[in-house]
Amino acid sequence: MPWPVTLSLSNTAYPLSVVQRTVYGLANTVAIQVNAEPDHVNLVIFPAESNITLPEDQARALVLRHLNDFALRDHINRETAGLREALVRAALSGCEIVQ
Amino acid sequence: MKLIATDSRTYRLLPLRFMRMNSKSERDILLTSDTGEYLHITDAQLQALSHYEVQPQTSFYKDLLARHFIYEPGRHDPLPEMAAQLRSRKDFLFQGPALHLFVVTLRCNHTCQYCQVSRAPLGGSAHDLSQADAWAAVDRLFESNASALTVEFQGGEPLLAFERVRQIVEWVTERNVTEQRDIQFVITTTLHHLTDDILDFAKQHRIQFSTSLDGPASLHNANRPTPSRDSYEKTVRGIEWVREKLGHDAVSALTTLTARSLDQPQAIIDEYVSQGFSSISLRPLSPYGFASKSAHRLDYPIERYLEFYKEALAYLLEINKQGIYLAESYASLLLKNILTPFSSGYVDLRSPAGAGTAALVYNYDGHVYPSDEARMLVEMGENGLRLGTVHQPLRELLASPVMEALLASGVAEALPGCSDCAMVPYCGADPVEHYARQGDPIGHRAFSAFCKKNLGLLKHLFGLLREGDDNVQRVLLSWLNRRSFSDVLYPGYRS
Repeated sequence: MPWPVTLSLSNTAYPLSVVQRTVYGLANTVAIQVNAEPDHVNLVIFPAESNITLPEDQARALVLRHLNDFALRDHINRETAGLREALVRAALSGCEIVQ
Repeated sequence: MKLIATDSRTYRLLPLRFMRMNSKSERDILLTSDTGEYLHITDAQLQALSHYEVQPQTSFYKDLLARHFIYEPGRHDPLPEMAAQLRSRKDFLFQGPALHLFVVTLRCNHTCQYCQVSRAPLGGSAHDLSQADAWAAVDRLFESNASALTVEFQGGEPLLAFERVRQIVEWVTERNVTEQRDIQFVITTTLHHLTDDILDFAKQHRIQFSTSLDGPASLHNANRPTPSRDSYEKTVRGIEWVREKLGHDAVSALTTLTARSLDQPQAIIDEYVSQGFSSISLRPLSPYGFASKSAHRLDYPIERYLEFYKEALAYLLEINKQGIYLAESYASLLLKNILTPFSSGYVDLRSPAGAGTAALVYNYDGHVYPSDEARMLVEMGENGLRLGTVHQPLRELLASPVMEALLASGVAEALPGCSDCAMVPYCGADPVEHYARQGDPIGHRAFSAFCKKNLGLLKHLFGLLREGDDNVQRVLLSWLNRRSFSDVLYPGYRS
């Protein structure tokens, strides 16, 4: 499987925000071109630098692992929506950074 | 068909983050809460937790409940407890700047290639803090509501402008008769220009000295050239002199690590042992001042620094096990963030960022900066991070557009990359460093030396805390509690 590696993803399983976080997090290893279509997202994956010796199958596995982790984080964030903000509001009431 | 027993959802998730540690352990995933609690779990446990499949009678469920990763609606409201915990971790936000750095002169007798501060020639006073500016800076200092204040004198070499140091200490002391703050004075110096008069004054005002010791003579003198080529000898004589007059703990030392330092971790540590220090700070070179111009010769990739750090830490752990107390300062700060409900308070490990909120720098020319690093950028031709002048009230300085920009890019929990990172409760944001290295105060975490350093060190410490033997854990706890190794008990129950 030669470079570039391509992936076609369901945007129900992998929303664009999940894809974007993956692209950002892996930017020092792989450069990913994102093509968003109505019902899916196509990724074209290149090595970030010419001297990176990452085999293509490992690159695919790496991107998929990050996609799945960010999808799980997205799920957790939806399940806990509003709680983080409520916690910060309760914890930092009375705080005035700029005196 | 699979029946999910917890379909009724006996629990709900609380905000949490996770990270793969790439360890060899089955429990490779680190789970952290916003309040700094953590658990090592398996992939299967993470999936079960996220999809409400953890059974209430299991110890895993009880751990999750106790550490505020989940809660049981209608049975217990975790928010007040968590809010109290988070408030403790962020207690530094409830007070004004506590660290006030006075740059009394840029003059210095050294010609260090990596100098982070930039220097001026020895003669003349064009690069000295004026009396009027010093007086105004003291006003700013007392406008902060912090109950404990640190007044630190920096340079150049501050002892070359000791009369200004003396004046500021006397003004602060006099004002403090009515202000009643807890004030600590520190002079950051090579100790080359000490006199009996300076030491008598330091004794009278309980002034601490912070010096630089880069390792054995050959390394120190190579890093810190002087015309007489005896920087090491003069610094060591100064250390002895301070201790003789003010006591052993009146002087501490910091290490600057150049590329040539990275090959000799044991020699550097041995030097600190032989000089009788109880802490060593193994900090990487900063991208500021002249250091940036000489980067091709002196700088190194952060990955090389991490290799050095791990080797040095292993050696430190060994000698501590033998009863020699020498703590690595940055590890001690990170351990406090990991293992206690409190923040270390260290400026670089704060979120929101400590620049300006925790520290202010009064430069020799009367300008005020949010951190020492910000004023170093000025000497590189970048003055965009100036808050104003010492003659503006503190409220005005802290409301400056620079502070707005720093705060907008200095909340780690909201930054790209950091917001998803399980280490964020223990880490900080450093917009000034990102501005210096990447030209953008937010920066890109995938290319950030700050991120690679902190992530590398935190992962290593979590590994030691989990996999290190009893004695490794005892050493780390001795650093955390500042107690000798022999005073720290073995973990767990023993017959």
